[in-house]
Parts: sequence; C-alpha cells; structure tokens
Amino acid sequence: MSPLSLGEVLLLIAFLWHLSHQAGRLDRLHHRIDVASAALDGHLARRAATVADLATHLDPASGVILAEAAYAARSCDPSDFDNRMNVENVLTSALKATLEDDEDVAELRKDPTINLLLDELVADSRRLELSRRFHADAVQACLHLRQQRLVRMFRLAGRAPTPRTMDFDDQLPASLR
Amino acid sequence: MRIGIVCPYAWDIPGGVSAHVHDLAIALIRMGHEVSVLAPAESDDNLPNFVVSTGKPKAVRYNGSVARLSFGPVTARKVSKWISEGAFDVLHVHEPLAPSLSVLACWAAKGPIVATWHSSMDRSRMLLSLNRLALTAMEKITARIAVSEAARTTLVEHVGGDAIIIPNGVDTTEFRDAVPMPGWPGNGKTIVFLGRVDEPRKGLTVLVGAAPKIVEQFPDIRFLVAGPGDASELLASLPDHVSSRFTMLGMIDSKDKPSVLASGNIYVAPNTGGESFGIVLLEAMASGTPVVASNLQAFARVLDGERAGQMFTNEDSDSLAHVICETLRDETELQRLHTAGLERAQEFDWATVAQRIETVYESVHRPGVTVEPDFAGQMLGRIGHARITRGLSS
Repeated sequence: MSPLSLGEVLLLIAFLWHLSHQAGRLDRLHHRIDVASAALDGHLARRAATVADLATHLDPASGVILAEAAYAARSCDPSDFDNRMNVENVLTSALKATLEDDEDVAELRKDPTINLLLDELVADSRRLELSRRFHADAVQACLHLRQQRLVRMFRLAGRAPTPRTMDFDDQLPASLR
Repeated sequence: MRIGIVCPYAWDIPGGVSAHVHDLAIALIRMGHEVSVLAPAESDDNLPNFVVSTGKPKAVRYNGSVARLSFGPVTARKVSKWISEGAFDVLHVHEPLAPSLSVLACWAAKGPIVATWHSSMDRSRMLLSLNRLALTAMEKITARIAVSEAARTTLVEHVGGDAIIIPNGVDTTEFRDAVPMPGWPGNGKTIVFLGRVDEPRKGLTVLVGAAPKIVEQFPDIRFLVAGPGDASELLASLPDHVSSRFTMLGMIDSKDKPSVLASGNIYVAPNTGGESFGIVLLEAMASGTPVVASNLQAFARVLDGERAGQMFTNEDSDSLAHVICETLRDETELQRLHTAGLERAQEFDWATVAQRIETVYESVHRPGVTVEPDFAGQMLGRIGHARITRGLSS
C-alpha cells in the first residue's frame, strides 16, 4: 500500500470537513424546526383559547360550533399528526362558517367585548400564519439537505425523524381579512 | 291552535327531518291548525306559504360531516322576530341538539315548547359542551318526543329525563288506492320484490334461493322484481323452468311503486340487515298486499310481531320458501294479512301520527298563554354557555 500523497491527504481533509459542515447545518436546521414548531404550537393554542372565549359571547348555535372545534383542537394528541392537521382545518372552517358574513360580523362588532375578541383573533391568526410559514421554510430547507446524496450515504441525519410541514388552512374568514 | 314549527335543516334539501316537518305541517293544516314553519332554505322560490325562510344555511364541518346549518346574530334576530310576531300557542322544535335554528328558538322563547329528537348519537359524538349548553335550553322544553327507541336512548342517556315515542309517519295515501298493473297478479300467484337487485342486503339472493322450492309447489307462480342493478348472473344460476318465472322490471318510477306493490299476492322483504324502519313494508300493506319479511328487529316492529305480516328466518331460503308456500295455500290467512296490513299501515299514517302529536300539543297548551320572546332566557343561556366554555379552557 503506497502512502497517500499530500494532495490526496488534503482532499480527504477537505471531504471530512465538508461532511462535518453538512452535519452541522443539518443539526442547526433540526434545531430551527424545533424552535419554529414550538412557536407554532403556542400560536395554535392561543388561537384555540381565543375561539373558546369568543364562543361564550355568541348565539348558542354559533357558540356550540366554535366551542366544539376549539375543544377538539385543544384536546388533540400532538403526536397524531394527521388528526392534528384535521382538527385545525375544522377550526378554521368553523371560523369561516360562523364569521364569513359581513352583516353578521358588523352586528357582532357592536358588542365591545366581542369586538375586542375578534381583534385578538385576527392578531392570533396573523401570528399563526407567519409562524406556520417560518416552520414550513425550515422544514423545506431541511428536507432539501437531507435529500443530498452524501447526507443520505453517511446518514448524517442520524435517527432524527423526517420533519413534516404543517399543512392546514390558516386563512381568516373573508370578513376579518 | 297556532303552531310554530322549527326545522334546523334546509327546507329544500331532501332529508329525514325536513321531510318529517313537511308532512307534519301538512297534516296539522288539514286538521285545521294554523301552522308556521321556520327553516333555512337554499332558495325562496317555491316555498309553501306556511314556510318562513331564515335564508341560505351555511355549510360547516360538524360532528364529523359537513352539515348545512343556520346560526349567527342576524339569524338569531330573525328567530326572535318570528317568535314575537307568531304569538304561537305551542312552539315545536325539531332536533334541538343541532347547532341551528332549533337551539336558537329555545334560547329566544318561553312558554309551551315541544321538542322532537330524530337521530341517535353515540357518546363520542355527543358533545361535551353542547351537553351542558343543551341543559340550559333543554330545561325550557315542556314535552319531549323521540321518533325511535334509539333516539330516545340517546336523549335519556346523555341529556337525562325521558321522552315519549311517536314514530315517523308514512304518507300512504297514494298506496291505498293502488291498482295492479294490467295482467297482474293473473291466475297464478305472484310474489313481488322491490329494491336494488345487486345489493346483497336487499336479499334478492335469498328469494332466488327459495324460488326452486316454491316453483315445485306452485308451477305457475310468477316473481315480479322491481329495482335497479344487474341480476342476470344471479338468475343464470337457476334452472330455466325457474328463472323463466321471473319478470325483471328494472328501475321503476316512484309513481309506479303503488301499482307494482299491488300487483302481487305477497310482497316479500328478504332484507338481510341495515334496515332501521321498513317504510316499504308499510307501503305494501297500505296497498293491500300481504307481507312476508325476514325477522329483522325493525321489521318485527313494523309488522307488530307477526300480527300484520309473516316472518321467516333471516338469510334462510328454505324458511322463506316454507313460509311463502304455507301462506299462499291458506286463503283465510291471506285475507287476514290483507286486513291486518291495511290497519297497521293506517296506524303509521301521517293522519294518525299527527293526531298523536296534536295530543301532545294539547297537553302542554294552556288557553291564554302563548309562546313569548325570552330575553332573560337569552342572558341565562349566555351565562350558562360561558360557564361551559370556561370549563373547557381550564
């Protein structure tokens, strides 16, 4: 076995350095996803809490629809990903159904408490929308990196689970946009 | 009496509850009552003059499916207006657990209130929040009716209290004057089957299995089969002299249903399951045709045990063949079933059912007392509701 030439040694060092760099990037991305995910969880919880509060001030039919949807969102097992997306979609569609009408919302806004809660809901939803997008960005970047051949070949992602974007409808009812 | 009826689902979209309200309103008007029905409607065109629309319902995912319901402050105001203008002697709300007009009406009214429960829900679907909210609105209800034992059980177990059972009515008017199709039942005997021919639960297979034995004893018998689907394979399994006794009508128009049912000496319902009521049995009885049915629980209820029809062991072709042959041979039994069937159908007729509901109205009605708007009730409802949702948040 012939000794490695200087060029070959340098190449190997460069290669190892590249691998460790990629591993570091991946680690940072995983961490970024964790942070984004925690923020998103917080905003989802806040939205559900505001909706539950709002529900108490509406007519009983609208109230029941919103309270039910909010309850489902809050009591959902966070590890059951698909179900979670489903309940958040249901909550968004319950909001759209109960608050889609300009006339209804104008009537509701006459009540100062409801007016405040609607503003809070709008603020919650905007924050939620942003945090979902930041989370999706991080997940996309991470998935892109994890698809690279070297990353896959050297299993740089280790046992970290494949991250998933939170794809649910977070759009506000038209009357509140 | 002035009666206000609230239907929580769209008037112009076919459904069990709206059909019930429609038939009940017509029957009550025929009995001389003044009736106003409050319901959502997709379109204001073609609404009968006794219906007041609250506008288009909104589609909302609720209880695991998409429901079309009416709610919101503008709708709530329309409900209050209808109640104060109506000055009803009795308010009758349907399906008060649906988050729609009925619960809004309970919220907005006080006085004699009757409620009818239509569906059964299992516990997982029975809403935690609704349960307690319901109690506030439910406490205003004076008399409670359930359309079935299952609906009553739901009410008893989840809301508490009890309800009397008054089943859905069946409009058998057009069946009572049914005339057989030309040439039927003919000199030989005829067995009528109605239903999708390639749907196993409708049980045509059971009848086909019984056919050879029946033909053996009644060589000139005919089988009249009406319903969509392809049964050629099923019939091909029979020997020619048996399969030639079958006449397949294919899908029939609903206006032809009475005469098809009247064309038989026996109407057979070999359904193997999945039946909750068995309206077609009543329709056959109303058209004067004796019924032979599988011994499903739902059918046993409609046939009042075996008083109004004959039953055979479910999914058992030999048992079916035996019962059909015994019945066909016994003219007095056929005559008895004919008469008992007509009587039984009458018991389920809307005219009879509406009378029973009228008796409930009479029991809660007090002369001089009308249903009034209840603003205190609305506040109470709101507080009650607030308590619930706070419970949820904690």
